[in-house]
Amino acid sequence: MKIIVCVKQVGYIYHPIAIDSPGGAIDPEKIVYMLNPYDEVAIEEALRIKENFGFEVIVITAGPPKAEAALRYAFSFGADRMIRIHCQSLDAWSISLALTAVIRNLTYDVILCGRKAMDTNEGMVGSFVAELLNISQVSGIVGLEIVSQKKKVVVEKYLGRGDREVIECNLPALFTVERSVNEPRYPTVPSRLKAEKKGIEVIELGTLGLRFDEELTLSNIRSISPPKPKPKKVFTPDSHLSASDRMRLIMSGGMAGKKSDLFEGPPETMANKIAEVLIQEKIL
Amino acid sequence: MIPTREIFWNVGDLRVAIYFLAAVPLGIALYGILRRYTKWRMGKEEKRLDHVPQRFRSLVQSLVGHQKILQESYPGLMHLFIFWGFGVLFLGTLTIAFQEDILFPILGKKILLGNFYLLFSLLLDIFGLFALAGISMAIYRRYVIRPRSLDRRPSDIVMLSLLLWVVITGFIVEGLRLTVLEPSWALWEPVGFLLGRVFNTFGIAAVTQKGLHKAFWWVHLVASMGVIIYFPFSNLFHIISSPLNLFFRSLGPSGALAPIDFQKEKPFGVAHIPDFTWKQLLDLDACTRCGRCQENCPAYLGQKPLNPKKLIQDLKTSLNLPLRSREDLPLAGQSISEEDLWDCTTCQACVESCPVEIGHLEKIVGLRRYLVMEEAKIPQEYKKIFKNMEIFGDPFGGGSLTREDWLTNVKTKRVYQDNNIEVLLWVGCTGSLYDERTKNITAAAAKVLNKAGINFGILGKQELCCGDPARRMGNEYLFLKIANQNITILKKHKIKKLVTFCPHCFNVFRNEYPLLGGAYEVIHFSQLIKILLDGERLVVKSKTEGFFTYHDPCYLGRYNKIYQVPRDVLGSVSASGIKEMAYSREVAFCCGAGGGNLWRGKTTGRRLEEMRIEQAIATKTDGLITACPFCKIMFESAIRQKGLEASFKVLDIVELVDQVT
Repeated sequence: MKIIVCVKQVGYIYHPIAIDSPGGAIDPEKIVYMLNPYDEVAIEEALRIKENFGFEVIVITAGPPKAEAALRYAFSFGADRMIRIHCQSLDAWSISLALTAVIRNLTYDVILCGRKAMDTNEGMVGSFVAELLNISQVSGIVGLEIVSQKKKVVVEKYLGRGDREVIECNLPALFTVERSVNEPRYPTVPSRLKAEKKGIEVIELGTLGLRFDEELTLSNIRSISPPKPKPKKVFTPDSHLSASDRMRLIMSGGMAGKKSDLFEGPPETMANKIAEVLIQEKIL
Repeated sequence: MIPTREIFWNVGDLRVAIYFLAAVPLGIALYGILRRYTKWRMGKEEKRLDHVPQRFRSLVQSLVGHQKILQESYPGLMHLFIFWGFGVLFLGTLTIAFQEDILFPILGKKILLGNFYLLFSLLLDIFGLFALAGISMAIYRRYVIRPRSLDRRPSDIVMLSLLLWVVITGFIVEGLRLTVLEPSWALWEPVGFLLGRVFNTFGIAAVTQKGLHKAFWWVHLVASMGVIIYFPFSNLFHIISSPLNLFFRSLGPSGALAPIDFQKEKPFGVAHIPDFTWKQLLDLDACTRCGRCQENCPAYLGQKPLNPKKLIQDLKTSLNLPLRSREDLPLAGQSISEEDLWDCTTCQACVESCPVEIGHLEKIVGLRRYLVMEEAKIPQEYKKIFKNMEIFGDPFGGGSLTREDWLTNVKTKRVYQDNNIEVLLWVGCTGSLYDERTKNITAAAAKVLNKAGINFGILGKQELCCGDPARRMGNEYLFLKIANQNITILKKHKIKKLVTFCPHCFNVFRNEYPLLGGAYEVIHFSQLIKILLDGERLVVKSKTEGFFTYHDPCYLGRYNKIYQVPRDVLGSVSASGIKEMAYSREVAFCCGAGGGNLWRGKTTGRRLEEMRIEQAIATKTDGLITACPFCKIMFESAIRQKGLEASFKVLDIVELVDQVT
């Protein structure tokens, strides 16, 4: 059995970044790149299946040379082959065409993708690829189980409010995974070193018989602007937390502060302060 | 008659026979020693034969001076008595042997004559008493006082009893000889003389006394042989292993860790006993189970499972396993629990207190390295820290662009805009990314530098984590990656001098980056302040009225021996000086944030920062000054948890200096 995992190197857009020209792209120098967290869950799931059943795992991405860092990281979980389709950033449809063209020439039983990429947040590539390959797909799964080697898989899809849909699927099939499917491993250093040395199969778009021009691209970005100023994050409104609780809050991003003043201090001064505010606001 | 002693009087001419007799116990002892040697040789190679004269001198100083041992008065004195008591007795025996087997047969001379003999006899009696006192103190301490730091094994009482019996029978033999021979100089052997008087009161006939003398002489001989036979298999083996350990100790900076060659070494870190170096295995034999490491370990005192003494002894148990099963027992997670390994804050209180220079910390980090890099078995919280450091360049995941947020209206150069500077202010991750508690330190540092007119700059957005947390947590691969990136950036901007207020950054740049090719002049901010105050480039406008206590950060104090400089600075800026806490300087109690524990969630036992802040509050001062942002984070949380922030301040020394200049 073979598993293909599609991965994407994403830019982390949740920190301040610069737009490099009016309406243009995000300045590439100012972005931190990483393996899409949803794809990390997908590759982890693929490896768990491999560890149970010994299947071959192929990791594939479509992107520029710098995307190889993310590809190697995914490979270091324990995959067997790495493929990169050489291209600059394209829209979801073009990416899907490219991926499909390569996957068509591979044998596979399961294709795993992250439900969406953390930077574009569209969630379309997985579904496009499944359609183009004409295979079954279930998106947004929260659980996966290989029932038997007789080409059958049972997946769970989250329906909201605690309900889950259980779907039995014949293979080959494509699944896009939610982040809750598993907790991705931290790769060991020997596997990181192996991933650094291992060769990546690079495929040029031209060899796939595909032309990418405006006609084929279904969407293009008209403009980008910086987001509305976010509410200033107050990491820990309660400053009386223990050091470890405080750190936990800080590491999870803190809380959005409301538009208000925060007063802190011992009870006596606080009581006066509260009275002051109540009087100011004409409540008292 | 000239004072002298007839060797072998009354027991027969055993001059030659004695050496054949001695061959057996010596042979067994040698076998015992060789067996331990083969155990050490199981370890990896390590070069420790540099600077031999310095090593030798330092060994002699430790042996003669006993400085570390004397840090605890009762056991220190006890050991001094035993060491010198038996040492001199042994030298006495050697002198006799020298005379009987070399001097007299070859040159026909005797030295144990006349005044020399009288002095010799007196000295041996006095030091014999010291030995007796020492052994008695030892038995009393281990079996009557029973302090928490000591455990009891059968081999302990066997060895102590043998040694006690050797000294007692020695005196009895002397006493019996003196009452039979009654020499005029008997008073020069006072103990024997007194014992002889006691024997006389029992009215024993001379002939019986001679018989008893012969018997006790043989008992004394057999007991001594017993000591020689048994010592390699008991705690007493430390008379060989501990001096060796002192001789081969690391001469490098305290706590500096050895880098890994990822192309050559296998495995990364320590999985089994042979993955340690021979010196690290020698450490295990040098341990005398004195328990000082345990009694100084903050984790142990905080009732966490980690116990450095138990760690060393458990490793020793693994070392002693028969060859066949050695590989089947991985250490981390099996004979050493993972939780123990993560509890360590890398404070080095254990290493500092150890009289025989055992390196507990390097073993813990070695085991951590294996867990992290080969097994990826890490506490849940640490995964994010490592990923943050790799992706964002800092453990908090704040990202480089937010590293300049602390700059509000403080004039600061960024070296990527203008690298014409005297010194780089290395801000560090806590100083730029944590929150206001630590960003205030950075702002204060920049203001102080401006006040002193220092032309400084910061890396700002281009600064990455110094890598110290990764290294201490065992992720040497990540550390190397980040360190190399830092070396490249510093080279690009031609940085040669760094000043930082974070002791972790200070320590790693000063003591560990040079091995990776990054050599810089590094000082801690407190050192810079002292220089500026002494040179009057910084002037105190009015001393603070506050009365404070000072907490020695582990990475400034024990790691780099910088204890007095911050105190001098505080002396210059505070009108009332400082009050020391109960445990300060070399025995300062760790804040608990080191070794990755800043990011570790809830653990068993007490919060270490709480224990330390209680010690601080007990000084009845207005607040605590420290010189490390990690410590400040921990202590601020601790004091606020207690609701005492209005009456007890927590400040970094840089903030205090900024306030008064």
